[in-house]
Amino acid sequence: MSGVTSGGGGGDGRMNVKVKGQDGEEVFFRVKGSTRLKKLMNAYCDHKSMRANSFVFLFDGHRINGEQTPGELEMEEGDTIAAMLPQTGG
Amino acid sequence: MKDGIGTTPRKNATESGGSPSSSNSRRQTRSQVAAAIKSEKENSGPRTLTTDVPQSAAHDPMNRKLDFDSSESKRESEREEAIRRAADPPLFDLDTPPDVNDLGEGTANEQKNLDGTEARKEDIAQDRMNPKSKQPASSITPVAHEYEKRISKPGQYAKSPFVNSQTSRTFYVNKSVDEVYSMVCQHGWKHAPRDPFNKEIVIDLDDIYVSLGDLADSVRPRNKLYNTVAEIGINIIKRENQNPKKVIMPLRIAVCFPTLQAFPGTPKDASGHYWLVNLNIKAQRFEIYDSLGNNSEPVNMHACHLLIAGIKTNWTRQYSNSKIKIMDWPIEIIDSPRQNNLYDCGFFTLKNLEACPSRTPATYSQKDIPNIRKLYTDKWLRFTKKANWQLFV
Repeated sequence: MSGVTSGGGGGDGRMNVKVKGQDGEEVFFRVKGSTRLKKLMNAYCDHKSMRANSFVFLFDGHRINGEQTPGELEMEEGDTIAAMLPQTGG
Repeated sequence: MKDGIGTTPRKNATESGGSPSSSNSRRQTRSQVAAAIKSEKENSGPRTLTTDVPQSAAHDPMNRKLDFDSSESKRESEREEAIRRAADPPLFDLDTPPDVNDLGEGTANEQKNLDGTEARKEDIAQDRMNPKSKQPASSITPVAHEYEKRISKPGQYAKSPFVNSQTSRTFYVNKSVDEVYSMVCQHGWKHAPRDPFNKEIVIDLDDIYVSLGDLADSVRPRNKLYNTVAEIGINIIKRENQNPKKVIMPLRIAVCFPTLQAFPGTPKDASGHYWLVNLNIKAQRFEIYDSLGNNSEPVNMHACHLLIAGIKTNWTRQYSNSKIKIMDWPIEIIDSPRQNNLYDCGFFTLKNLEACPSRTPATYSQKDIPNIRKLYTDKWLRFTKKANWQLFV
């Protein structure tokens, strides 16, 4: 995850965040504060061998937009992002 | 609050079978229906010709020609027919998506209902006279004739205290709502995968947003509700809630409970079932509203137990000082209006949630769901006023 810096607010310090799936499995990522989270989301989908945008990512109960950065969301070292499958119900 | 992600094989089968996404399968089913009708017509045609004995009418398997002798019962049935026809005006009939041109079939069906047996006999007689005169009428694709069932009302003591099945209330949809809905239905990942507006975010509450494609996929007729869209609906109901004692938990709370972990769904057809669990502190019980399943048991009792066990555990952990001890409160199944398919449960659940601690029986049923879909779509889209309409039309 050598992020390409793409402007935006937040510091440039690297931090470790983990993405937790519904099955409880955790995947760790090391991201810069100014990297767009789109990159992390795509990496996670790749890791799970799913198509991009096949997960819904939640941080503090808010759905994450791919254009946001960890700096904007005020993420800190060791924070958890929840990954949820978009499901349908009948 | 909701939820289950059980991917039972039965549901998967029905989902893939009844999926309206591919026009190919739809065409096929329609042709099957047409074929079925044709064969039925051929079967019944000669029979009606040969039998002029009135007794044969009573034995008609189609139950179409029940012609009672007493004029009173005739008047009764006429009145019921008129009421039934008045109850659902054809304007708001949304059983079929708007892009399908069903006009010809609809009129053909109505014609059949109107004229009844006399017209049929005349047709047959005319047919015998000169067979070529009937050509234009037979070009219309016929529609399966719905059995004219007798309306049977449950007795005074067989009625459910929670559901009013003989409701006369209709969910009125005005023109602007209709336009918004049909506009939304033109988009969607399944319907128009290459539509550039599918990614556009049309509803953005602070903590959850949804794109036009997801919304369209959820609210189109015969489609299932996405959990992100259900979350929007729950969130809006929560914001409009006037009752300070009614606390609505968001859908994603269910992620924290072990229910979901017990049902790892594949992303391709991760389909489940929405239902409602209510912790009624005044009545000291857990209430379950399930629109599918049996009266005595919801579809997924196992998941209900898991969810309720999770609530109990968290309650004792968080409110250990509280005087209210919920540990051994019983589970009560509350009657809900029934769905007769496998795709409308999300809207039933939202409707149940809206009216949850109600003193009056529920006054909606399966036939109102198309209009309820429209009304919810309109309400959600107008709630944030985020969408730029000129862009999508």
